[in-house]
Amino acid sequence: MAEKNGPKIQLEPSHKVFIEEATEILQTVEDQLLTLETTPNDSETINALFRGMHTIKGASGMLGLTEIAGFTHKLENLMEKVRNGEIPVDAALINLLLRCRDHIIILIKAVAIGELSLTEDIVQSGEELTSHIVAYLDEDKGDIKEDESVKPAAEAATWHISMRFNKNVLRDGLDPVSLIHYLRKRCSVINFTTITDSIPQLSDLDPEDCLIGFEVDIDTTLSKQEIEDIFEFYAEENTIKIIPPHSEAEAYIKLINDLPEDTWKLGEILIKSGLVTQNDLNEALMIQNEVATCAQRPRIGEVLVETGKLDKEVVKAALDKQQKIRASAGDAPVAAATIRVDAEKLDQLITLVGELVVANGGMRQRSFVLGDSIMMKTTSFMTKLVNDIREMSMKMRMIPIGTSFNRFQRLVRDISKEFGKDIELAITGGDTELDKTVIEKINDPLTHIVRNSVDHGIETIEDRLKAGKPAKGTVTLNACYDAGTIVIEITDDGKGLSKQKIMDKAVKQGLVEAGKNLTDKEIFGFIFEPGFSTAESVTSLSGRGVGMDVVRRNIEALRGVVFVESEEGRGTKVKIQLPLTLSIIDGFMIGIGGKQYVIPLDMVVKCYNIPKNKYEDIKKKGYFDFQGKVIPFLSLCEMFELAESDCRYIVIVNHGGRKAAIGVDNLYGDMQAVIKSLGRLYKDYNSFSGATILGDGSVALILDINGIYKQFEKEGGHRLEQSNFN
Amino acid sequence: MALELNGEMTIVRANELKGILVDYLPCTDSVELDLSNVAEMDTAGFQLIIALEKEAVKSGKAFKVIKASETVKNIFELYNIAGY
Repeated sequence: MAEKNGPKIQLEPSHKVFIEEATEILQTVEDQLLTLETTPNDSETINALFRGMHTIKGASGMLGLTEIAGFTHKLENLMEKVRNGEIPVDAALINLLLRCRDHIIILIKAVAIGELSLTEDIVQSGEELTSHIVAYLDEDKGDIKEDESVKPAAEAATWHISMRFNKNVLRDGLDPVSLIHYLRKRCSVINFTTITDSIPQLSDLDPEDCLIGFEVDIDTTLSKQEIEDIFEFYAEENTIKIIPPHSEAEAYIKLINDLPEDTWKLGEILIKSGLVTQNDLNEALMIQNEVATCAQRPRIGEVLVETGKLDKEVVKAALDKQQKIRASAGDAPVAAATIRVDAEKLDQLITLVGELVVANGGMRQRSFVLGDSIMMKTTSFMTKLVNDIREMSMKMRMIPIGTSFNRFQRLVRDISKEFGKDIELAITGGDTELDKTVIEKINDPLTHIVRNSVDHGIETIEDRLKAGKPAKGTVTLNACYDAGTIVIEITDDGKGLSKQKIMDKAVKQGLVEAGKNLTDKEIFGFIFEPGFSTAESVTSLSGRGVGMDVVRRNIEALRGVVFVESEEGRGTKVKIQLPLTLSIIDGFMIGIGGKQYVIPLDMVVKCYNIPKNKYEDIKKKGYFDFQGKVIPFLSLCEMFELAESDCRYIVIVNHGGRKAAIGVDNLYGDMQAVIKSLGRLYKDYNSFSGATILGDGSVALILDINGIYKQFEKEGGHRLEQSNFN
Repeated sequence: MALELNGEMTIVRANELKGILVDYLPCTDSVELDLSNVAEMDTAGFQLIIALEKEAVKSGKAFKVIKASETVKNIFELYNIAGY
């Protein structure tokens, strides 16, 4: 039951681990469910799903997260029936499972924020899902019999299985009920005896201990491996003995001796099952007693091999087991090759490495000033080492973008279902690596773009057929490197953007004058304007015109650019270009009014050396003639209210396709800038994206070109007279 | 005097149920369980009944399950325990 009004709990380390692991499992669960959609009978995947649910249930139960444990328990029951083939895998079931998976995520998030009391919404949707699950669980009651007729009788042989459980089995969230249920489902049970000898009288009972045991004879055609798989969850710490058909009496005797219960009682059970005769048993017990008195009692296995009686199933089982062990031994080094590290620790490392770069820079500079050749040699060697460390530690934060891409499979599937479209999401370049922080921050904008493609880009099946396209639409996500940046492309083969529509709308919104000749790029650029949408109808997903401007803002915050290519009727391609990392950039250092500033190097287009009088002229006009194009001139001296300076250079900067000219006093050349954030105090100063510490310990601000453009636009008409930047 | 148990007889309530049963045992000479309203039963619940029976038999009391819900019957059937 929901722990309404529950207390806020302190997030314990165990909870943290649970949240991490469960989130990972659920991500895999999602992928598996989507796989199952294309291959509904994939028993591997069904098993994996079952295991996933089981793990979450067990872990949450252990942590006392009753809400999650309760829900996953039901889900596990459902998966069990699916695994047993009692419930067919169909679209409805997968939908339900996907929704259940989402529900668990919500529950886990509630745990993550340390909130045990759930909102009404969550409780309600949980109850709704539960009712669906229960409906499934009840439905199939009748059909269990059906399968029993399928059971092949011809080659079936009788196996004996003996089960004794670890005391903690029940506490660990396992219940032999489901095991026996599954066993009965898979095999035809001839004899079934529940051993209750270990259960004490009530007053001595620890009711959470598992004290029950079973002696079972089954007729089955399954191989030993398959039978062992039934007991997969019970393999550890429990005593499960599987005796193959036609085993010698010795095997049974050994079993009897190994078990804690009374010898003759077990003997009786075996005799009753007809696996051994009374004679066999007497004889075997006698022989064994005799042998036992001799000091050199041969091991049973040896006797059997010697006498040639060893069943080939036994040999096979032994081989299987050996192989299993070998396989896991082979896996071991691979597993040990990666370790889990707290992302925060990595961030700290990067920060420290940043400091190291700065400190090293200072030392190097000083060594040049001192002119001590030995010290210069040492420092230059150290510089090399520091650079290597920097590169290595940056690499550690790089993760493939594929995981992020794969999340969209679900999104695309859900939306295409909702709108009756048939869309495939193709992913290429998933192993392209990108800084973790960038990947996290790019997720929202990507989601938005993919949604747009699926919702607006790809047409309905009928429209596609009418247009002579295949019914199935394709959205492609691609990632690749391009000169120190990463390029992410979202391509769809849908209806494309209508230039005319965009122009009409742009004119209507006063973004451009009617009849003006614009390049494709400029036209498509309008869709990133706030409040711009050409969609005729607003759907639940998009069309409201909020979004693309946010997408652009988010991407620009990552110092990236985004633009659109489109051909009407053929499709649209959105291209995002991002720097590989956020914390260290290649910068270009300039001086204005006696202060030093850094411009991200990839935004610098060109530098000009100009005479004083020409500079005054440019400043007065407010524009600069750059390769025959008029671009605005920005006076940072005025914007930053610096003392009038002696500008001798013009630097042309480019951001998101917009160029501007900046007047500067000095050019210092390129450098590695470790970005330090400015802190909350400066959050309103949009002209700077951060600061960096120079080799001599002084601070240089990093210019945010985009922010400067905005500042410039804001100041608009009276920009040269006064600045409201203060 | 029969004892009626409701709801779930599972590991979640195992300790609570043990308490109920322990309290019940001295109050009667003939243990009679009404399990017709038991909605869920797992191995822990099953073990409780076996343990109760053992204790009852030991102290010379009769033991009987007079009514059982489908769920309970299913478990007994699954574990091949008859005679209740």
